[in-house]
Amino acid sequence: MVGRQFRRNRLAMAGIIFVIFFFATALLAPFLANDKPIYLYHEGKHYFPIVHQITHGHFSSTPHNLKAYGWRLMPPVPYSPTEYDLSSLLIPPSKNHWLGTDDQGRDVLARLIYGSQVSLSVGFIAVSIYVIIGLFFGAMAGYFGGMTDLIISRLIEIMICFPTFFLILTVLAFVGPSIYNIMIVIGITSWTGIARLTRGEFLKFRHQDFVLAAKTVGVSTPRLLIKHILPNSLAPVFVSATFGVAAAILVESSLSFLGFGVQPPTASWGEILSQSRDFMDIAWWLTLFPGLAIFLTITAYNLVGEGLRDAIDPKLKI
Amino acid sequence: MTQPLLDVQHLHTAFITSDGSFLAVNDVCFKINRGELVGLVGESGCGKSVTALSILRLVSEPGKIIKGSILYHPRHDNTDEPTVNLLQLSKEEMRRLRGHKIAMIFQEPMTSLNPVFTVGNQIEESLKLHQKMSRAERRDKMIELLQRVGIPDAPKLLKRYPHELSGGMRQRVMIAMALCGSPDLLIADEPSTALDVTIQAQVLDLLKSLQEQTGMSLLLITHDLGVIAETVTKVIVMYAGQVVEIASCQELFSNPQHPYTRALMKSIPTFEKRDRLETIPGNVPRLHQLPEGCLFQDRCPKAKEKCRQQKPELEEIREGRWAPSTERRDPGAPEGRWARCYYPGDS
Repeated sequence: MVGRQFRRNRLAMAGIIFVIFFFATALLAPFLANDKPIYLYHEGKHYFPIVHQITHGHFSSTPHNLKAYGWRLMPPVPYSPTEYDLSSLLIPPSKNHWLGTDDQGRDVLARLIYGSQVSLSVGFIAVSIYVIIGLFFGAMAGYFGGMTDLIISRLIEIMICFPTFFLILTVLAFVGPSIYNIMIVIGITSWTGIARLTRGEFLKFRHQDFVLAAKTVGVSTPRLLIKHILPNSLAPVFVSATFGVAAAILVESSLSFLGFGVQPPTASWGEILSQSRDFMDIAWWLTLFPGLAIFLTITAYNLVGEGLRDAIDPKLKI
Repeated sequence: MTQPLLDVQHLHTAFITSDGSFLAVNDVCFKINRGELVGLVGESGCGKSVTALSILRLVSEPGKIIKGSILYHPRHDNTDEPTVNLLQLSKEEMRRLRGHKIAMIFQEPMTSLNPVFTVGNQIEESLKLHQKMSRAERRDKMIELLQRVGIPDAPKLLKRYPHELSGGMRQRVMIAMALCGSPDLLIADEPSTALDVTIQAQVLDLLKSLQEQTGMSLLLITHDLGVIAETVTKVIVMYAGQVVEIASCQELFSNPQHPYTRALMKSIPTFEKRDRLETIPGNVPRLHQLPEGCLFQDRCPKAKEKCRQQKPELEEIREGRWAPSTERRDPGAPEGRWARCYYPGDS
């Protein structure tokens, strides 16, 4: 039912296709952009340097001077995101560098591809952290009610009052910027929405007959919460989490743009944008493409989220 | 002397709200013997369901059991299991007892099954809780249970979701779940009310035959005197949170003693009385502000001065009169007739 409703929504389908494409890019990044070949035939031997790098962490078994010998298959973007090339600084989009190069001669497309890994992991891990926290507090407040509910609800309200972004900036100023710190800080500051949703769902379900029926069979309270009520209340949480991924990606980009995020030379969309500031008048490609990548990804996630919301809630149908 | 399976004594369950507290179950006493089919009747809001939930200690906030005891005597004499007061067990002990020794089924089979799990998952859950079995054993047991409750094609049903089943089927699934722990007592709270009449009869027949097969006791809660007449052997009549009469089914219908029961009997439509049905004048007293004395006084045709001053107790009666006090037995003993009225019967 939900699936059919979702598929009927064209924008949401476009969104999910883009999200899948984005996932694939992030997962296959080493095979899409790398200065080592995917496959190499050298002196009667077969080599898979990228696979070897992934499984062993280095290229040691690969013959040196790769470019000189044998038959090889290069990735579609034959540059690594951290490969400096001082002979080709700030080259506009061209045949060799499809999206141009930056001020240190690094290929922008390669950096964008690797940047998608950062966005993906920040988006998902941060959201997973706060979904878990939110589900826990929401379930406690909704199911037990009374004093528990009072305390947790006030806690949620206090959390909402903080301007999250500045809170994150402040915390990062103390603990130091790194991708893991970003995930954790986003995770522990953004759980309030999920907690409120979950609280509402648990309030709704705790007096339902099937919950009472489960109790009469002798189900213990933790099991009742996790196995019987939780699966019923996940739908709105998923919708909210989808929007949450988009928001987390945006926060990470903003932080990297401000220099509080991922540290060079690791590529991230926000970080590329931040570098482009100095060259905005001469190198438009440095600003446009990472901006476009952020825009498209956020839009795609939001479209998926909206599609899911409409598919799940029959009342919102127009 | 064989002890009753369940002995409810002076049970009081109150709901404490900001408007003040009121007693939903007000001094309820009754007994359920082994293998007995007991009916609990009364109109909506008279405390039937709260009584049942009190037995399982599942009255939800703001409800609270404030007084009384519920003695449970395990079914088999040869075991050393002692008599326990359910109200004094720890939460964990009580949880283990639920579903295993005392099971319950509900009025609304539509909402009593968890919508996100298959039927198999849900029955398996209650098996897992109370018995150690391998997966294959559980599957066999589930199929056996479903066949016992009269479901054809049981293996297929295990993979179905509740919304794919009809009301009657769901109620059968609920019964199968309740039988998982082979309980001593099955409490059925209006099990047939939400079903249409033919299915209703099937479900009641099923409960009756399961009772015969397993020898468990059945407490059937209903507001439908027709259901009572067809199914049970002993009837407990409740009014405004109190037990007003206990009698064997036959006696209750042929010779009701409490004025409330008498009025109820008169309001059943029959073929002979085709004109206007008799109704009981007035309303149930508001539970916040109970009157002094008998709770039925305002609606009772025979109410006298004494009824307004002093609360009658549930006492044994014979031939329309109080039994001599020396011969008094416990309330709810199987042979006795009990009523909470100073002027029972016709007098």
